[in-house]
Amino acid sequence: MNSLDAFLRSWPREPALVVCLLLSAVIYARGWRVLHHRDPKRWNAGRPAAFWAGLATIGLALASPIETFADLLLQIHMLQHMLLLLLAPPLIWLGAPLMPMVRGLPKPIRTAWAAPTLRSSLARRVFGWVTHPAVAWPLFVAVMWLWHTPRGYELALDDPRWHLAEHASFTLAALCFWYPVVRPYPSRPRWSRWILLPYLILADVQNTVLSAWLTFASEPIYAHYTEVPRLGGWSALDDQQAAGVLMWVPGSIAFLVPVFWIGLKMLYGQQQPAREPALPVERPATSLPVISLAGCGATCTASPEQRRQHAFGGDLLRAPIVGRFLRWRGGRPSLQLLMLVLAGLLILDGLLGPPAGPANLAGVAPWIHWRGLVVLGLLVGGNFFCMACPFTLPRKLASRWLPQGRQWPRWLRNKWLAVALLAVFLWSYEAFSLWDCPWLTAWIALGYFAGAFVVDGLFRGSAFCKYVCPIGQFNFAGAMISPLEVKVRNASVCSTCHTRECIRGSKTAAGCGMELFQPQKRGNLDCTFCLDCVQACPHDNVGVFAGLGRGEFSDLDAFRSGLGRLARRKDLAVLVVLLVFGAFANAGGMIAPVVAWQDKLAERLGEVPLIVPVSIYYVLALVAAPFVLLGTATILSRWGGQIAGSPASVSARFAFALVPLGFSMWLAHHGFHLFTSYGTIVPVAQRMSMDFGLDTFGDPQWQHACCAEVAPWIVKFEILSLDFGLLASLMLAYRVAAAEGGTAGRVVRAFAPWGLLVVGLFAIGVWIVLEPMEMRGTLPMGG
Amino acid sequence: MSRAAPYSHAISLAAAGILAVALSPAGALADGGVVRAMRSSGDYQISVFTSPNPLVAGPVDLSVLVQDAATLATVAEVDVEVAVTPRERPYAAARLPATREAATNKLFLAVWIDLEPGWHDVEVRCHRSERSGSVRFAMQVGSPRSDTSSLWPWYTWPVVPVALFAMHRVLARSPRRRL
Repeated sequence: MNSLDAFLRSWPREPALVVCLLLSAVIYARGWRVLHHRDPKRWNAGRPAAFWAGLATIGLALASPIETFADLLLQIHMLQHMLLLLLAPPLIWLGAPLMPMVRGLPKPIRTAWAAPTLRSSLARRVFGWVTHPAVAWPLFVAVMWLWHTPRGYELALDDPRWHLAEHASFTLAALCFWYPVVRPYPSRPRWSRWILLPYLILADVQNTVLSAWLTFASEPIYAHYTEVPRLGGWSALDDQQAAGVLMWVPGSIAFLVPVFWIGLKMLYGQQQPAREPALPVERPATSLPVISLAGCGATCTASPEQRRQHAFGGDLLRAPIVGRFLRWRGGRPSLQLLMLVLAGLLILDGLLGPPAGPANLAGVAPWIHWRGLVVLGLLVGGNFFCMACPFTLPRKLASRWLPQGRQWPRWLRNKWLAVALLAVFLWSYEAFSLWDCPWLTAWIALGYFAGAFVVDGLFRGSAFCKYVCPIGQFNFAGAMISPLEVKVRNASVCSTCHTRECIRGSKTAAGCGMELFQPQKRGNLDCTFCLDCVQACPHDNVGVFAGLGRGEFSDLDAFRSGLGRLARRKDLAVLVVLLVFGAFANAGGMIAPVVAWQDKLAERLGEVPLIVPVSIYYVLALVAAPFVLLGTATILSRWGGQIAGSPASVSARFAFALVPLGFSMWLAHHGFHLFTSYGTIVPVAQRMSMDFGLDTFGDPQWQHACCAEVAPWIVKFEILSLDFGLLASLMLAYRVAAAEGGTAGRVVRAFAPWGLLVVGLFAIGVWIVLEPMEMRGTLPMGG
Repeated sequence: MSRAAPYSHAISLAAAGILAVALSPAGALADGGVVRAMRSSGDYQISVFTSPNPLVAGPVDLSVLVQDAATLATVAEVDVEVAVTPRERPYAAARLPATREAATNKLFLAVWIDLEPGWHDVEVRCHRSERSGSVRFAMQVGSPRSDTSSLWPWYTWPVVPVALFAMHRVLARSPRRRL
């Protein structure tokens, strides 16, 4: 293996940088496609080629073997700097990235964030100032010289954070320097192009001085390179001289080529053909013009509903294989059958198998795999677990055997029963250590089957799912953040439909048992993804769509089919609050400080059974804490924001804003157990098959059931989940406050108490994930 | 399917892929760091690097560059063994082979060792056929950084978008226009 071979194989891992570059490339591509469609001449293929080449150059400088060897050879390090200072920025500007990047952003971000920032006179003034030649030139030179002084260079070599600061400042200063030279569309500078000649020549002069200093120094300037081993026969001084020459010659070319180009263009002059602007452009006050990207293309003439449809993206039911399966009448039943078989095995093993949780399917599958997969499924898709729910499979049998026909009692047509059952479920998980009690878990599963059978057998519709099932309520609330939603394809078709099979049913298909009338359905609450509406609709007008900003949390006063007005549903608000605080309580109950507190409490109360302190903990976490915290936030919010509504309605509105943060805590917690203990299913499956007399899978590999080391990325995943939950909840709380109306000051005062509550919960969540957590469902060390 | 739909899917897929890359373990391969020892021994010149800097208890990367003592050419075929002995618990000495697979820079051989706080005596032995060399040095490992302090960028970055949003609310006083 020679040095070149080693060099070519020495690729560092820089995932964050690669992510940023890829994301930038994707956003640019998205925007360029739209602009190219409107004006192919201006937005030709050369633009993205230049931009992507610029990004690739940054990647080459910082995420290739150049980065790996930069600490050992000064000339390699200098090559890295040249790429960042002289090659990447002009390429990026040649791609005229402003409009494609803005256009490529998702619409909510573009209209709510990017546009106001671009319109801002302060932002335009600052940008115009830093890209003015009189500022950009000294900035560029200062950054170059600062980081090439011995002290600056050594600092960057010794500390990775300063190294990052060095590269960031190089890139930013170079982008400012090259902007007036390239003049990317749509900039319209106020100065003459002749200024660029001395601008570039003087830049070359300072580059020459710096290069000469490095090249002609009689001893190494940077002590670091005298202390590292020498490679390839290069002494430290030879290496420095080579670095100086590299900086000198290619550096000069980089500065002088534009000088010749600009000079030639100005001397011989070119009449640019008058070009019709593709977009209206306002005359700017500074070098960054206000641009209007109005022009919605083909969707301009579309109806609001059609535009809304376009905004929702593709229909999953039209996807090649998955769509076909979902549209198939046997699709859902086959999923339910599969889950029924798994549930059957779980019950069997729970009742007859070993009592130790980690060795039993009922101790492992529901509490590690199923819970983790449910939240992941909600995050990436939708409520697929209600779709595949085996508990409702015997519904048809129940309707035949039991005298179905009653309406669910009016006084129970709310979520209070489900709230109570959910609270009991959360408490009993901890109080009875369900994760370690396969027998009890099996009986709970049997109870679910029995409950669903009886309720759906006696009462019309899907009363069990809508008013009883605690798991379903968790899925409904979690699905509020899911990307997929069942909705109509074309509202105008529904407006002419009088038979309404989607809710009434047809001869061949039942309608929606959850009382969700598709044209008035909004969001995923109470939707089990059963797709009965899809089967029943005679116009094939119901699909499964993806999209951002579906309005799940907006306009809580709007009527929603099957739900009414969310702002008036106290039961729903209590449900989401229970799930949010339940997330933190459930996770917190497994960490060492909380367990120690419970043990101490049990001791103080006179050696009472553990169920007592656990019950106290849950009363505090699920009742007292929400009551006090939400109550306080409501009082302060109403007072500060001068909100007229009743305390209950104010609480209810803001409660829905907590859903993303609550979901992120469930995701972090259940994801943790899934990612650390997914292997536990292997020895359990092997043991079960041997119990059945099959040794196909071999002897149980119990080492997979033991505690696995928590990989560092899992903690980061947990924190990242909480981060996004925090941001989403803050945004929603602000929107609720803004919807109450009033001045900016009142909105802020109305939002502030809830914002603090959200941040407080976030901090608790971070504390929980950083504490050691009990590895439930796994065998102890050596077991 | 609408015109925007395929691109929405593409964006979603791209975002998922990007997230997968972002969450992949970074810096899993050992590489470079601070020079702890660099001297000739026998047939070899042996340079030893450690990282992180400063050394803290936990996983520590130890990278070794083996060069021919006479020509300073990198030696491709060599076996390197690293022995680390905590001074306070000499019975807990660890002896591990360094490999090229564990190193980002393929001129090096590297190994990850879990170290506790305190002073450690390190011996790096290189040998192949008749040729050998070794180097000894001591290094001090500090107390471990808590997760709270080492992971602070992960839970503090939301401050940035919150600050940007606050700035946006201040800037966006004019009525919104469609873009």
